[in-house]
Amino acid sequence: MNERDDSDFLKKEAPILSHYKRAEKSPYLMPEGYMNSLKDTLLAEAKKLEEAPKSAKVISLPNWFRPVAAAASLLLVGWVGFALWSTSDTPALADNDALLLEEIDAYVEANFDEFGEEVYDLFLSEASTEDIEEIDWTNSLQIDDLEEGFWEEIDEQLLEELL
Amino acid sequence: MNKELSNQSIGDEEILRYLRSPKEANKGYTLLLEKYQERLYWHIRKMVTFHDDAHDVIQNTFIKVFKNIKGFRQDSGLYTWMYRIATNESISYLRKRKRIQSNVVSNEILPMQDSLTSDPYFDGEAISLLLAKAMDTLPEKQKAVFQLRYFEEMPYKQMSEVMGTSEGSLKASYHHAAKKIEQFLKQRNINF
Repeated sequence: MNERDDSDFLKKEAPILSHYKRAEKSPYLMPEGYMNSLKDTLLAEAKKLEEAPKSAKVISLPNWFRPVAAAASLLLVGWVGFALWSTSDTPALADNDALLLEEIDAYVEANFDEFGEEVYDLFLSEASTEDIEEIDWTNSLQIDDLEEGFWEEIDEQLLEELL
Repeated sequence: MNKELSNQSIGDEEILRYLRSPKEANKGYTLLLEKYQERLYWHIRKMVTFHDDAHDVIQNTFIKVFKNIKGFRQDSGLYTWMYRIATNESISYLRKRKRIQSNVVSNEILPMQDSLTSDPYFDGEAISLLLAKAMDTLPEKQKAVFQLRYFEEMPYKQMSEVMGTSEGSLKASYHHAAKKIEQFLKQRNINF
C-alpha cells in the first residue's frame, strides 16, 4: 500500500476526517513569547549539564562488585546471544550486534513502563555492546521467558498493542 | 531573513560538530533549539493536548537529548532520533496521566472536553474539540501513530524509524485509529 492509497482510504473509509484535514485550522495556541522563554530555560539546563562534574555520575561500589557484575553480565549476554542464535535464524550476537539491539529496543518500547530511567537512557544513546554488558539484565528482562518463540511473541504483543 | 530563521537551515552535521567541541557547545545547543524546538513542541502538544503538559514533556525531551547527544552515533537522522525521544516521552506522560486519573475519584477530573474549553491556549470549534476528545480515547501508541500520519503527514518509512515498528503494522494501526475516530465523530452527528 502506498502513500496515495492512504489518502484514498480516508476519502472512502473516513470522509469526515478527510474533509476536516483539508479545512483544518489548528485550534492549539501557545503563549506569546513562549519559544524564546523555552529556549532560555533549555539553554540554562544545557549549561548546568555541561558544568556538572563528570564524577557526579559515579556511584561508589564495593571493590568486589565490579568484577562479579562484569562476569555475570557477560554470562547473561552470552546466554541471550546463544538463545537468539539457537531459537531462530538470527545470527549470533558477535555477528550482528545491530540486530540484537534492534530487537531489545523493540522489547524496551513494548515494555516501556517496566524499565528504569538508566536503561532507557542507554537505549536513547544508541547503546554500544559495552553499555549493554553493564546492564543488570536480571532486573530488566525475565530471562526465563527467553524460550523458543520468545521474540516472535514480543512482536505479536507489540502488534496487539498497536491495534 | 532573521537570524533564527537562517539557523533553521543549518545542517545537522554542523550542529553536532559544535556540540562536540567543548568551546562551542553552547552555540551547538542554541542552534539545535532554534532548529528543532518549535517542531517538537507542536508534535508533543498534539500528543498531550494541553500547553502545560507539553511544556513539561518538551523539557524532559530536550534534557534527554542533551544528555545523550554527544554519544549519538547517527545510525538514524538527528531529527528522527529526537522525534523518537519526544514520542516516547509523550507516550510515557500520557500513561502516567491516565494512571493518575484512574486513581482519582472520577468526578474530581474534568472531562477532556471541559478541560479543553477552560484551557486558555485552545481555540477550537466543535469538531476540533471532538477530534481531540476522540484521539484521547485511543491507546497511547495508536494516538502517536495517528498524530504522526494524519497531522504531520510523516512518511511510513520515517514513522517506522521513529516508532521502531514495521511499516505494515503502522499502516494497519493508522487505518484502525482513523476508523475509530470517524465512528466517534459519526456517533456525535458531525457532518460536512
